[in-house]
Amino acid sequence: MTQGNGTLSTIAVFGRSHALWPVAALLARHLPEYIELVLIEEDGDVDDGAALTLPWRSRFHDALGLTPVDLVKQCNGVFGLGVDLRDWRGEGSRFFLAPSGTLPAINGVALHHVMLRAATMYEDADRLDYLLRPFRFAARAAEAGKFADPADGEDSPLAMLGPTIQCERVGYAAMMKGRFPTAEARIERGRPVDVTLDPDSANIAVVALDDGRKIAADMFVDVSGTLSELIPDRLAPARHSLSAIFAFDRHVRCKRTAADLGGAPAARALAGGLLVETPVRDGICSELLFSSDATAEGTAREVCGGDGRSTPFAAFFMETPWTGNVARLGAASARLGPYMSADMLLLHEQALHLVRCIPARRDMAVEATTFNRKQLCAAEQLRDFLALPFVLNARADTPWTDIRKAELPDSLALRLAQFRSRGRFVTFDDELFDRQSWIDAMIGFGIVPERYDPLVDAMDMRRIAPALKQMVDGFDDAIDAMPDRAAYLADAGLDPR
Amino acid sequence: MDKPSDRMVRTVVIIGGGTAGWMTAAALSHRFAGTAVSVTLVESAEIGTVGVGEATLPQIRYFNKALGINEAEMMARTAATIKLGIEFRDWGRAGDRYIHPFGAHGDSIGPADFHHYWVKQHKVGDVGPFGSYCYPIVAAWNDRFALPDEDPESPLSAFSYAFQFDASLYGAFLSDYAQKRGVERREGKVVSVRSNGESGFIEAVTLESGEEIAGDLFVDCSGFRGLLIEQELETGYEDWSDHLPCNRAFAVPCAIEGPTGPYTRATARTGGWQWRIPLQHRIGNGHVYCDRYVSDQEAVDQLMTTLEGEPLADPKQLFFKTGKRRKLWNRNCVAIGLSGGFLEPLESTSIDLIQSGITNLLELWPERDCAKTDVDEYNRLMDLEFARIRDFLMLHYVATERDTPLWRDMRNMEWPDSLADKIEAFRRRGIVPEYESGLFQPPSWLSVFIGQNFLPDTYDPRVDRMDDGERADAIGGIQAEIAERVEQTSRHADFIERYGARYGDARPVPA
Repeated sequence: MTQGNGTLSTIAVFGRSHALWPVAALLARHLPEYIELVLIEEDGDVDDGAALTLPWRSRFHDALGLTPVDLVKQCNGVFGLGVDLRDWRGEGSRFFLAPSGTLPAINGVALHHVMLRAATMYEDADRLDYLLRPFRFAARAAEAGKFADPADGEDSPLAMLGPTIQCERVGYAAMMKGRFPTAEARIERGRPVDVTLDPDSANIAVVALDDGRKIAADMFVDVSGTLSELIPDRLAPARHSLSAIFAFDRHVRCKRTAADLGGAPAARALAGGLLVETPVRDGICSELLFSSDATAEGTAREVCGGDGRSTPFAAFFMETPWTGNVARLGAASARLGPYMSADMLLLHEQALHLVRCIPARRDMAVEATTFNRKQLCAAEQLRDFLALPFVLNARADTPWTDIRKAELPDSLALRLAQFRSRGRFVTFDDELFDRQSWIDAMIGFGIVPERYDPLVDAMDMRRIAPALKQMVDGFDDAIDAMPDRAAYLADAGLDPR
Repeated sequence: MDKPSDRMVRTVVIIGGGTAGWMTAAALSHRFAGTAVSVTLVESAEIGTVGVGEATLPQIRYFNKALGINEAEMMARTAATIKLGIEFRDWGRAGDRYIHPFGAHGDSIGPADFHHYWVKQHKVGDVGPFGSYCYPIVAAWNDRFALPDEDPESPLSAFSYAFQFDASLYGAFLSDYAQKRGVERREGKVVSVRSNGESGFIEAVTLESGEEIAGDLFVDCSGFRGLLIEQELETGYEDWSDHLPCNRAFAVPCAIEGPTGPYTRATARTGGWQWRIPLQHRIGNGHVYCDRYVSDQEAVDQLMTTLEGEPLADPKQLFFKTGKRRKLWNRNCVAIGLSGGFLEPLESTSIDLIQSGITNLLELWPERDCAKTDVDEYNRLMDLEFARIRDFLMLHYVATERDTPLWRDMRNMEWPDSLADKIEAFRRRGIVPEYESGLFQPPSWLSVFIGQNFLPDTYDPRVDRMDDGERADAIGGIQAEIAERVEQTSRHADFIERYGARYGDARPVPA
C-alpha cells in the first residue's frame, strides 16, 4: 500500500562524486521500493588535493552503518585529535581546537568561572587561558603525540576525546561509491544543460543532459550546483553572503608528499589568506583561501605548494534551499570553504534532514518548509562556529583587521556578548558543536569574561585546589597511558606511508 | 573598575508569599547558602494567594531534587498524589477521551518515528488507540504507578511523572525550608515603594507598620496585580486574550468518593473547560471559562452539578487576563509567577513558568546594576517559553470539531503563524514540532493532535520499507508488552503508602 494519489515515484539526484555518493547512499537506505532513485553523476572537477576532516562521532556515518575504523580504512584516511589553529592571534600564536566533551563542574559551576576567580585573585584575569590549559585534555594528548579511541561513559578522561578522521575527498567519494548498492538506483553519467518547467507550478518537469537524454522525476536533488544554475533567477532562493567574515575571493589547492604534520590538520592565518593543511595517509593536502587584492596568483600557488590554478570563492548560504520540487544540498546551497570541512559537515546534516523529509506526495511544500528550517539551523550553527576564530582574530594585516569589524550574525553576537559579560554559554536548538569546544575557543581566542558566576565567591578556593589537581593528575596519567599516535596507527594498519 | 565582589547583589527582597514567592525564596536560600546574600520575603496574611495551581509538570522534580528535598516527605506534607499526565475529555468531540502523558508513545521500530507506523496501521484499520502504546497512559487509566526504572535500557525508564499537590501546603513546606536556610519573613502589606529618581531602580518598599525594607534586587511575586513590575514600574502587559480568551474561573474542592487515578482531568465545556485534580485528601475542581460565551451563573452551576463528591467549600471566583508582561525583568525587578504572566491552567504550566523564571534568574544572576545583557537575555528566554506554551495551549482549542461559539470562533480565528505552520505540517505529513528549549516536546504535541482526531493525511514514506506483517507484529508487540508491564505495576495508593508519602490521616481509596 502506498500513500494513494500523488505519491512520489522518482527522485533524481544530480551532482559530482564526493557530494553525490554520500547523499545517494543515505537515500538508498531510506526510500521505499515504490520510489525510484535516479543518480546522475557529473564529470569534471574530481577534487584532486582536497581533503576532509570529519568527526569520529557522526550521526551521518552511523546512519550508514559506518564505524570510524571502517571509514578510515576504506577511504585511506588517518586519525587526528583536532585542528591546530596557527597565527590567528598574531605570528607564532597557536590554539588547538579539539572536541573535548564537557569538563566536570565544580559544585555545579563550570570550571572556567572558578579559574576566572583564581586569575582575578591575583589581579590578572588574562591568565584565564593559561590556567585552563591543563584541563584541555584532547589538546594536551595531541601535543604529546598520543592517540586513543574515545571511551564510552564518563568515568575515563578518554570519554572527552572527539577524534577526527582525515582523508582525501576523492578517497571518500570512491569509498562511498564502492559501497553503494547499485541495484538500488538507476545510475547515469552526464551534465544537466537545460530544464523544462511545469507551466502551472514552476516545478522542474524534465532535465536535459548534455548528450540529449531527458531525466523526468517528481523531485530533483542538486548536491553540486550545476542543476540549480539552470533554474531561472526568479525562482532561485536568496543567498546570504558571508564574505564580510570569510573575506577571501580565491581558492587554490594541491597535494604534496611531505612528512606527517603530527597528525593534526593545521589552519594557518596568513597575511591575505588562510592556509588549511590536512595530513592524509601519503602526504599533505593544502588549500589556500586568499584575497586577490592582497595576494598574487603566483604567490598563492607558492604558499599552497602546487601549480594548480585558483578558482573563485564566495562564502554564502541559502535560507530556503528547497523550493518547489528542487532540494539544493551541499555546494548547491552553501559555500563555507575548506576550514573544518564545513561544506561536507553541512552536506551530511542536510542529507539527514532530507531523509526525514522524504515527501509523501508530489505536493511537498510541508516537507520543504521543515527541511529548510532544520537545515538553516545547521547552517547557522556551522557559520557561527566557523566564524568564531575569524571574528576574534588579532592579526594586524588585511583582511583580518576588516574581518574583526564585520557585522556579526545575531546568534553569534548574542553568544559572544553573554560570554564576554558573564562567562555564560548560550545554547540554541540542535547544537552541532559541544559546549566545551565553544568555551575553549572563546577563551583561547582572548575572551576573558567580565564576571564569573557569583556562586564561586562562596567557594573555598583552598579546598578546591586539591580537587582540581586530582583532575589534572588524572589527565596526566591518562595521557601517559595512551599509545603514541604513530604506534596506534601502525597497530591498526593505518600508518602514514 | 569595581571589583566584582563590590558590585554583588547582597540583599534580595521578594514581594509575595504564594507558591511563586516561596519557590523563589527556597531556591535562593539554597543557592546562596553561606554567602553574603540575604533574602527577605514580605507577605501579608490579609492578602490571599490564588493557590489553585495544584497540578504540576515533571520539571518540578528537578527543582525539588536540586534543593535536596526528600520527595516522599514533600508528598506527605502537601497531600500530593502522582500525576502521569492529563486526561482530556470531550475535546476533539463529545465522548472523546485521551491522555497527554509524561512519556513517549511506542518505541523505535524503524527509521521513522513510531507514530508514522501507527498512522499507517490506522489507515489499514487494525490498530489500538494511540494511548494504548504508551506506558504512563495505560498505567494512569489502570490506577497504577511505580517509579521509572533507572536502567535506561528498560522500557519502563522512558517516562516521567509529576505531582498533584495542595499548592498552599507546598508554599508552607518551602517556607519552612527557606526560613531554616536563613530567609527572613516579614509580615505586612506594602504601602509604598521608593525608587531612584535617576535610574528608576527600586530602592526600598515600606510596610504598613512603617518599616522600610531596602534591597538591591526585587522579585515581584505579588500575583496578578504586579505590585512592583506594573504598579511601580509600569512595564505594560501583552494581552493574549485574542488567542486565549478564557478570563474567569470558579474553583471548589470536593470529597473523594472513589478511585481517582494518578492523573489530572480537563473536560471541555460549552464556554471553557473544567479541571479535576485529585489529591490525597480531596479533589480540586474548577471551571475555566470566557465570560463572552458563558455567564457566571451558568459557569458555577455547571461546576457544582458535575462534582463527583460533596463540595468542601463555597466556590471561589477568579479573574484573569491571559498574556504576559512586556518585560518580565525590568530595571532591578524580576516578575515571577502571576505577576509576570498567565496562560490559563490547561496544561499545568503556571508552576513550571515560576520554575523557569527562577532557573533563568539564577543563571543570569546580576550585579546591582543589572547589566542590560543579563536583562535582555532573561526576557528573551522567558518570551520564547511563553510563546511556545501559548501555541501548545491554543492547539487544544483549535483542533476540535466542537460546535458551540467559543470553539467555532477559536477554530476560525487567525492563528499565530508559528501555530498554523505546526498544524499544517502535522496535518499534511505527520511532522511534529521539535525544539530543545521549549516545555512541550514531540510526545506532547502528538498526544493532542491524535487525541483530538487530527490525523495526518500521509505518513513518512520510510514506513513503507517495512512489510505489513512485520509492522503489525511490531506494533502489536509494543501494546502487549505495555499491558503486561502495567499489570505488574503496583496500585497508585499502594505506592503512596509504601513510599512513605501518606498525608496525615488521608486514607487510600479502595479500587
